[in-house]
Parts: sequence; structure tokens; C-alpha cells
Amino acid sequence: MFEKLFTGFLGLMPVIFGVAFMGPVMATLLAEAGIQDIFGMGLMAPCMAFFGAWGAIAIWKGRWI
Amino acid sequence: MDITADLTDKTELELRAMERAIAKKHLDKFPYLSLCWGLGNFLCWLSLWPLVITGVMPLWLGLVIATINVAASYLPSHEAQHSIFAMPGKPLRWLNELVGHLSPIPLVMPFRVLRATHLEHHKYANNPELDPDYGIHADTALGAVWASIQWRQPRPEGDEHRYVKSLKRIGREDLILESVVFELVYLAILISLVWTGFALEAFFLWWLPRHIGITWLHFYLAWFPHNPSCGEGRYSDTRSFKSKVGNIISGGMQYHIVHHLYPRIPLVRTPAAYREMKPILKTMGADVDAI
Repeated sequence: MFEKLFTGFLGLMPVIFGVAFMGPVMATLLAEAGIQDIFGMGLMAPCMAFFGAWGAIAIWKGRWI
Repeated sequence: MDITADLTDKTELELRAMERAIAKKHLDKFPYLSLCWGLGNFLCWLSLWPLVITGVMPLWLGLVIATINVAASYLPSHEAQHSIFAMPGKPLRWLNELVGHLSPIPLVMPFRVLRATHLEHHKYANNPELDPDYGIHADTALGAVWASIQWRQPRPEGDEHRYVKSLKRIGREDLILESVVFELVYLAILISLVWTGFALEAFFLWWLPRHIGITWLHFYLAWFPHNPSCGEGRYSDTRSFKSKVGNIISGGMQYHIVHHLYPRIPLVRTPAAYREMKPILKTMGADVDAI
């Protein structure tokens, strides 16, 4: 049971990495570059959504690129 | 030994004995440079964090130094993987293990995993199935960079990672868990930094330098000495080469053939050992014409 949960959690790591790390980093980089907003949604939410989705694709395909 | 020496009249056994006699001169020398390098490099990388966070050092400079630190963090651990600082049971064994564990922390690679998989690489160098580093094989330099990027994907080559397969094959599944714990702690630290206002520091002092460093390591330590023309066997699984960027920037790998023949010769002594051994290696059929 624990092993299954742990393995499932590990399988989600690309999404967690995308949402919790790459998304906020990209939002910070864009803010540093003077960009304040994406389609009126601010920066953080679109960046987190984008990298979270990319992470989901990475899980499906087995690779980020 | 005269580098033009004609050894064709010697038997293989005689050549091997001559080779061993040369190696013996370079074995069991304490690698002081690697000790200072391993611990100093790690401390330097650690010191970047307060320096950059407090604004004493600009982030761009931190990125440059961190990239050098991460790239340089593997080789001292590599000396420890071969017990060059001290063999098991020797008084300084603790130092061997200390350098081995501390030095590669910026790379987020556990020492025990590196040691287990690297020894498999030595046993099966260039074997498509059994060499854990075979995934870096490529016909061109750009192909090697691409192979290195693929090596870091969730399922490289569409399958389990070669290191995982190698650890399973030798019955060290416990080390797979150790790798996972390392990755989780690394990710937890990165995420904590991001959400406490240090996103750029986390990205430019660790995440990006780690990727650049791993690419450099794969290129000069795994691809260049073993590719594209090397085969399998004692004198053909690696070669010497002349690097356009010099021996230091190529990680001291120009003389990698000496390391595969005598893994316990310290890195800094491989050029001297190579120069002495070269006529023997050439007679034995090794690819040593480049340098």
C-alpha cells in the first residue's frame, strides 16, 4: 500500500516540479524582464499552469524534450 | 621509457609486466590536490548562497562560479569511488568516504550510487547492455549532448534508467531508494527556496549549473574517451585524445586509457604514467596516436 502510494507520488514528480518550481521561476524571470501580465491573469497562475501541463506531458511521453 | 622504443620483440606477458612496473610507481600516492579540490570546491559552492543572497556577489557571477563548482564536483568523488584516498580498513578510510559523499552533493548524485554504477562501467565499458554509461554513446559531439539531455528524462530511451537497471542487476535496489531520497530532498530545497523569495538564486545557483555541469561531465568523461570508435576489451574500450580546450578543461580525460587500465592511479598522475606507458600501449594495440 505504502509502496504504491510512494510510487504514484514519484510518478507525479514532473507535474510537481513544473507547478511548484519551474512555473514560479519563469514568473519571476518574466517579472524581471518587465512583463507584468499574461492575458490579464497576472504571471504566476499562467506560468504554473503552463509548466504543470508540460510536466503532465513529460509523464505521458517519458521526456520533457 | 623512450617513446620511440621498439617493443615488438616482447611477449604480451613481458609487456604487461612492464606496464605494471610503471603503474606501480604511480599507485598509492595520496591525492592531496583532489582532497583540497573536493572539499574546497564544495565549500566554495556553499559560500555562494549567502554571498549572492546578501547581495555581496552579483547573481551572474554566482552562476558562472556555481557552474564551475558543479562541473568540478564529480572528479574528487571519482577518486574516492576507486578508494584512492584510502582503501577499506586503512586509517584514512573515513576521509575517502567523506570526500566521496560531500563532493558530489551539488550534482545531487549519491556517492554509493556513483560508486556502484561506475564500477559496473569499468567491468563492462562500452557493452551496449551492461555498461551503465552506454546511454551517452553517439556518433557526433552534438549527438552526445542530446544523449546527455535524454539521460535526464523521466524515462530515457523510453525505458527504465540504465543506472536503475544496473543497480537491480547487481542486487543494490537499496541504492535506488537512496537516489530517490536525494532527488526528493533536492526538489524540496528548490521549491522551498522558490516560495521564500529566492527563485532566481535556486535556478541560477543550482538547477541551471547542475544541468550544464552534467552535460559537460557526460561530454568529456563519458563520451569523448569512449566514443565513437572504441570497442570492448582492455586496450580498446577507451583511448587517449588531444582536446582542443586542453587537459584541465576536458577534466583530465586525455589520458583516460591509463585510468581504465589502472583505476587507482590518481587523476593528476595519469599524464606521467601515460607518457611512460605509451610505447607499451601502442604495441598492445591501444588507440594512443592522438597525443
